[in-house]
Amino acid sequence: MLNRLHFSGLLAGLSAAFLAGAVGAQTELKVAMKAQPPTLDLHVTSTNTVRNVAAHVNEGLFAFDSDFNPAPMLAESYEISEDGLSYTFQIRQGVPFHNGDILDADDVVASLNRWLKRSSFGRTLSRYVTSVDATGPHTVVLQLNEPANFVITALSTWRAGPFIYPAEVIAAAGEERITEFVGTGPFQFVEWREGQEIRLERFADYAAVEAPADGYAGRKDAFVDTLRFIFVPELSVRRIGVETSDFDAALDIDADSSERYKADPNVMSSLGAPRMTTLIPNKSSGPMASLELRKVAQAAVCVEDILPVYGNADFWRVDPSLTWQETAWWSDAGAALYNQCDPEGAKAMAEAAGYDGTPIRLALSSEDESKYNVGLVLEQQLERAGLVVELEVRDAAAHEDTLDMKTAWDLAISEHTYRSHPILHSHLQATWTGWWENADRDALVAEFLTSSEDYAKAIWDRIHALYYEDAAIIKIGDYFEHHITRGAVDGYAGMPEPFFWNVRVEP
Amino acid sequence: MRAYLFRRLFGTLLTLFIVVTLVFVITNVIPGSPAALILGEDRTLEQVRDLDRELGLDRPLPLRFAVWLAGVLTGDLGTSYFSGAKVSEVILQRLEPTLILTATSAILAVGLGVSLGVLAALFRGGAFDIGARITALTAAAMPNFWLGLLLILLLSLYWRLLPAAGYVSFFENPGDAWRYIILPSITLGASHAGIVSRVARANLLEEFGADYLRTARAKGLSPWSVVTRHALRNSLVSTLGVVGVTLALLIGGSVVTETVFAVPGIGRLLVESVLRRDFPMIQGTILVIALLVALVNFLVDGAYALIDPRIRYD
Repeated sequence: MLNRLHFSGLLAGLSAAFLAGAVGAQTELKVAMKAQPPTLDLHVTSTNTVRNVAAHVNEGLFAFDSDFNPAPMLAESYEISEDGLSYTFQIRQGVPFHNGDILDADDVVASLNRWLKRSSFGRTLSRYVTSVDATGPHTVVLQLNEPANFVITALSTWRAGPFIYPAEVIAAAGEERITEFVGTGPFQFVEWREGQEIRLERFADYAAVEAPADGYAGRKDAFVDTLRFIFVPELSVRRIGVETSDFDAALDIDADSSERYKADPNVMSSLGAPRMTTLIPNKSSGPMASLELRKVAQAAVCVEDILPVYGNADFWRVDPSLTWQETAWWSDAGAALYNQCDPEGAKAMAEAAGYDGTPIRLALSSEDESKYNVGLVLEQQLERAGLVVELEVRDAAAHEDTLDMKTAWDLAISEHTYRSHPILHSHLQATWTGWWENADRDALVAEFLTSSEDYAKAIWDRIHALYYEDAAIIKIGDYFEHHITRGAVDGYAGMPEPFFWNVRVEP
Repeated sequence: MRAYLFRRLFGTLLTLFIVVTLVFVITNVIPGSPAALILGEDRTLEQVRDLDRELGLDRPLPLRFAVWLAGVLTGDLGTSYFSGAKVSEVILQRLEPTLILTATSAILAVGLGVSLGVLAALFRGGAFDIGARITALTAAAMPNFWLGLLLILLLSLYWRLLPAAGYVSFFENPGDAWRYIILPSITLGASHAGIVSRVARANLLEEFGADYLRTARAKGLSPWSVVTRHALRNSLVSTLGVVGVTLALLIGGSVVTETVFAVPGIGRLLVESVLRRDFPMIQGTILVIALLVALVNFLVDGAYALIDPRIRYD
């Protein structure tokens, strides 16, 4: 009897343990990405890989909803003074950081001050900011020197955005990059295995915002216990890894493979962020400093012959706007000069401009296949217009270095990542590569940033037209990133930037 | 022997110094900006200058070299420009996958290569010999990345036997780790197995014609004994030279295999570091690879003496 009791007790215990194990089984989501990020310090870089990982760990005061309108995240509310010079933010109370500290105004002030100093977008806003102060335990006041209409937009951005870190983490980093990856996000940083993976875990004490999930904003739930970003450089292996269920998702997949997934219920293919390809003339020195020659290049470009390098027609679109269709800032001002596809006219313009056959250096990166292919087609189109083009192909590090030198190149292909507001475009600044110095642009931008929202769109149209008139940037077209997920992955949002909160994985 | 060891040590140190000096000069002279890559597409020249200052890249090259060399002599290889992690710690982390991959590939290359070569020599001219030679030639000629992708297609995608990519440490989960190392090991080891097999076969055949073997047979030794105790042992001296080179090539040549299978080894670390101009990481990795190759050569020289008593280093 005793033995039977023991045996049944043992069985009951084992069953309970088994059930507990089944119920509490660890869930894990594995994301294959092309390369490891250079850092996880969100303030200092606008690199995609950084944001794709670290946006799960850190949050900002605001985030964009699915319509790209700013929505509160760590901010509870905000008020703008009547003169438009003072923004008062109430910070949510009781929000824990991953290190156990509770978020307060000092953390926000330290983070914003660092961001204003270190981030490219922060530096843009900093021209208008006189101070950021904590006026209460959960109150922060941002003081401007003149009204600016893009403050909340700038505070909502993900790219080199104003993510909030604990004040002591900021202090410990000093003038260097942050190496303690502590935030308030739904996942906390666990470890970075150099060259292998970054591992995040569900943050049990996460304080979700009380609003339905909407785009990057609203309620965030970590439905998996562990989120692993695995670095897989080989494209075909990332793809096969999802097909074999070794990975749950893979980022940056070739567009051509989407055809085979249309009829495959085990792999979901999704369009990622819309991007934009442009031809950047060097306006500071060399032949392209001449407006006449820039106009020649503008007239020679024929985008329908270029864009198929991005795959089938689902993955690219002909569009003259320098701001995306998905935003409220789409514009066709100046579009008559887009996609002229007129080699003969361009040739006549080159002759009229007295072009003497000086070679035009088209700088390309060998590591980016699509940019390289765009460059090859462009070379032919420009040569049909009578320009002598020399392709200069370098690896990414040398190419980027070249772009920072004012006399080392004449034309370059640029692929711009998605932004929701014109102010987030780096090419709007004269300090960006290509160095577009234009007094009219400066005056219009100043007016644009300080005007009322209703009037801002009209000013943006005038700036947009100026881009075309000055051939400051020659727009090629838009194209889309391609990501895939396993059929068992549920809740993956169709937002431009990939994220994995509110995502479940069926066992 | 002591004099030999001293000479060898001095030669190794001199080689290492030349290697690291050359690498330092070349990596710092070729164009490329780590700051531009860290800051991303929206950077401004002002940001690049600030970051160059933070990384110490605004200092003159000789000063940077002196600082780095002083660090190396005190055991400090510097910190990564990108992650900020200590170079020595990163290399240590990424040495394990490479050493495991190299060791398993070497076992495969040497074990399979020598066995195949010896058997082919024993059955010279027969069907086995022809088959072994074709196999060895195919394995030696097949590009690494192509074989790797072929294996992934067959064994991962179609038959679902092994994972397509990734790495699990043997020290953390030995039960799972072996599944991740099989395909990379075959990929990396196959071409070397082919080369070793061809060399082993040729060396053994050369020994078969030697006078001392005829004497051995005349003494009445069994064919098995003639082959294993005399011919094989002597042929291994020449084969060992190839094995030494193979090991050195495996250490330095694992880059492609590590990239295809996402193995976080030192070869991939070197390529990634070169591509992003992470100078301290490049210099540290080259130093360690050079040290490993020197160590392998040293051990192979020692093994010569063990196999062939006529070889002395006095």
